[in-house]
Amino acid sequence: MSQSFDAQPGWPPDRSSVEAARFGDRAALADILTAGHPRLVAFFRGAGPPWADADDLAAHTCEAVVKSIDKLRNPAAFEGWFWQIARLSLRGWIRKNRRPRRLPPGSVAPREPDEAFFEAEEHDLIRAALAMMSTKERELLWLREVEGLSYEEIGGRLGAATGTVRVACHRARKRLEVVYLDLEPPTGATDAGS
Amino acid sequence: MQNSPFEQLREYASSLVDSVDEATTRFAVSEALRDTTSAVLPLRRRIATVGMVVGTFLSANVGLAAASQGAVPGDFLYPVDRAYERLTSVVGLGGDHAVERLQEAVELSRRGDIGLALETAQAGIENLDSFLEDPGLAESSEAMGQIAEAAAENRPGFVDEINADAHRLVELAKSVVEAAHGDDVEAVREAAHLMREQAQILAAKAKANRGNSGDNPGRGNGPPADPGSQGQGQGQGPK
Repeated sequence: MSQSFDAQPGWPPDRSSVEAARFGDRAALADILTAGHPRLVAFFRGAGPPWADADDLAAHTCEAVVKSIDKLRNPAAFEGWFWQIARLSLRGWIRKNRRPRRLPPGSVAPREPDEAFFEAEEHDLIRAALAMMSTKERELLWLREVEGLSYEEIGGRLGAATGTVRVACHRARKRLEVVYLDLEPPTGATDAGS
Repeated sequence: MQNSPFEQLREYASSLVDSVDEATTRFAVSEALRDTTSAVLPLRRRIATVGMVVGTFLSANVGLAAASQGAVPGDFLYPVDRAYERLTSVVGLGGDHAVERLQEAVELSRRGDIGLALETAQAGIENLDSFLEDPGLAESSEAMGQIAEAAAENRPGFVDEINADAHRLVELAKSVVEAAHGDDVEAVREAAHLMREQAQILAAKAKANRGNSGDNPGRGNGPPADPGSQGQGQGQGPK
């Protein structure tokens, strides 16, 4: 299993918190959403929509979680369920706005001043590489490499067999490596420029 | 030596998480929790609200509402139709609108707008209460998205090639939604199975078409054209 990053405590929520939230414990639900919201924002911002839209999508996803948590039958499957709602929100946005543009390698400048503030230059390369990939590849990489979901968890909610997800993740990883290498400036070029 | 792209990805994700300030999260969470609290109004108050809002709105706009009833995405009156849906949802009478989405999808398919028809059908399927619990529906929806995307790219001959099969897929999706609304579990299972098979066949064709065309963004072929300028003059998708 790949290593997930752990910038926010309380994520993923434990089973007892999810159980409590399912049965109407508002405090437990608030704790879950407080830990999950920044990750949602990151997911949507990383997926391509403008930051303002990404923030709206995260808020809508939180609302959808609140509205449907009582329908979650298996608390152990919470993470996969949570990210499936996020994916659906993203799909809705894509349908509404058509597909987000895949940016050509040169067009990695942030779109808004606040984005420029946060999106440091050091991330230009990975952003450009992500922009070259399909929505599905980005989603798979994010769920697997960032959120650390297992193939079973991803497959269970994406409606695909574990083996299919494993192969798709492998391809997405390979593709990211290739795209990243293509975009990476040769070491000598940087030295020569400076 | 630079970090691997995966380490870069995780660092980038961390930086995005860090960029979300606490106040934004607090606000989003409190709004999400507040929304559902206000949605569960006492029955009497709900009836009064429904009566007042719908009565006022419909009496003022009944003609427009009727005219917009059969509108499909891309039609002039479609936004009016969706506005009424949203209004009825707000007052608790909305339902999930999956059947209506599928009726729109069938109509779009009849008009030959396959890409938008499939996107609309996809929205209808995702509207089903059982969607989040049923991997088969998710798989079909995923496939519909891929086919719609391929259709929107408008490669020569592709839409013509899949036209009849795509229409059948939309009809199957409609059967699934109708069966789901009739609470006929066996019929849902059967229709969902057929829909999934059909969706997979078409998704494979879409994939093959994309592979044959050699347009593989990210392999150094240059940027793809603006998606908004492609397609078949489709308007914005539903939702």
